Order: sequence, then C-alpha cells, then structure tokens
Amino acid sequence: MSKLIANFLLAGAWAAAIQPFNAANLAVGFALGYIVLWVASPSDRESPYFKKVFKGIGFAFFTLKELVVANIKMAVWTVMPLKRLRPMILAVPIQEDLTDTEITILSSLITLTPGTLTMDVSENRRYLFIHFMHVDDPEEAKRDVAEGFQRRLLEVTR
Amino acid sequence: MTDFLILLRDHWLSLIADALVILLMVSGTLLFLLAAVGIVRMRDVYTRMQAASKAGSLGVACMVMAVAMYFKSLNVAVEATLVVLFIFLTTPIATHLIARAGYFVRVPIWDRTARDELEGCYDAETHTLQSDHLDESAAGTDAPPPGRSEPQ
Repeated sequence: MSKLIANFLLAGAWAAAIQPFNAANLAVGFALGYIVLWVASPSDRESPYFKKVFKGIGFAFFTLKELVVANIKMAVWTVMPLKRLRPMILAVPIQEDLTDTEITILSSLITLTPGTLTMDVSENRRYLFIHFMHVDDPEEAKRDVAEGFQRRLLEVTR
Repeated sequence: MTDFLILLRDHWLSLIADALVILLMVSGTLLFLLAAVGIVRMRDVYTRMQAASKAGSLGVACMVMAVAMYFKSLNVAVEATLVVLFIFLTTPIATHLIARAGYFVRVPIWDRTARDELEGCYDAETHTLQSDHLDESAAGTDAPPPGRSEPQ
C-alpha cells in the first residue's frame, strides 16, 4: 500500500515538473515511478506490489469490457420480445473470508456487469443473492460469478 | 511547406476530437433512451432496475467524458473524472437498496421469474438474511427454509 502511494506521488511530481500537468504526463510519471521503486528497493523485489500493478490495470480493462458488454446485452434484451427472458434470483456462494471492502466492490461490480444485480448479502457472508436477467443453467451462472469476478478481484486485493 | 503540414495535422486532430465528442454524446443519448425504454417495457422492479442501473450509469459517463473532451482543460477533466467515479460508486448501491427494499415490501415479482432462492430467507421481524438452509440442502438434507411466506 505504501508503495502504491509512493508511486502516485512520484507520478504527480513528474507531471508537475514536466508541464503540462495532464493525464498523459501522469501516466508516464507512473511508469517511471514504478521503475524507480523497483530499482530503489533491491531488498524488496518480492513485494507483491510489483505484480499487482499489472493485475490492477488488467482488472480495470476487464471491468470496462464487461461494462460495455453489459450495455450491449441490455440493449438487446430491451428491444427483443420479453418472452425470451428467464429471470432468476439465485444464491451465489462466495468465499468466507472476504473483507467488507471486498464484498462491497464485488457486489458493485456484479451490479454493473451483464444481466446481474446484487440484492443482498447473507448474514454469515457466505452467499450473495443476485438477480439474473436471463439464465439458461443456474449452476453455470453461479460458477461464472464466483470464478470470473471473485478470482480476478482477489488477485488484485490480496 | 512545414507550416502547411502542421496546419493540416492540427486540422485532422481537431476533426478527430470533434468526431469523438459526437460519438460519445450520441452513444450517451442512446443509452439514456435504452434505459427509458427498458423501464417502460420491463415487468417488475428488478428487471427495471437492471435496465436503469447499467444504461444510466454508462450514459452519464459518456456524456461527462464528451464534455471533458470538448473543453480540453484540466479543471473540467478532473471534475469529469470525479463525476464518473461517484456515479459508478453510488449507482450500484442505490440499485442494491431499491431492490432490497422492493423485496421487503413484497413488490410483485414477474411471473416469468424461473427461480427465487431468496424466498423465505429474510426474517420478517429483524430483516436479517439467513442462508444456513442453503448449506444444508447443498449437503443433501432438504431442510425447509426458515422465515415467512413469500411474495407470490
């Protein structure tokens, strides 16, 4: 976490020194700051931060892709005959040891992605109750949520 | 000659920027339209929320990004980023709360809903959500769900 803050500060310093202070210079500063941090911490090369940055960027792009797919799917569902839809409310098991933050991020992302809407978390934090717009196979839908989002999220946060 | 080339380059760059602004605004408007049509056409709270939450949030994001690209200034860009960030932070939470509240007050659920595993899981008094019976039924014993009778 301190490495992440240091990296952002380095990016800010770079962009402030190399005018103008804009997104492109911030991105360059972030990349340079990453290299500086890597060079400057020979005793800490194993730090998970160096891998997490790439996973975080990958996760951001994955989320963006899902967001666009969600809207295309929703557009199709909005205009096609409603008879073809089969909505369901399913209890999707999640890992037991997720923190509050992770559950919040996970359920928000589920709401923003194709055809799913988080309704509630069970008291013992083992299940997310999700409304699906259209399900062919309930078991497969549950597996998709657990394998897809949960695994990718945990790669970044842990 | 070089002056002419620079002029040509700037011309093309501003043309591309304008095209992007137009593209973003048109797709934002289309998304709003889809959200509106979805709200009218869908049959219960949950399917309506699905239409409104997704298309609505990406629509606002498209619009605000178009504004940021049009003005090309740091202040506007920062504000636009913040707007997009807060929209994506708050929309899912609002959606989640409306869906939950809808379930509590037993808003009729669309009769095509093929399966409702939330049925009977809420404690009517305390609004706590039990899921123990799900573990038991997964283990093979078919325990009846606790709680109350359910909306339709």
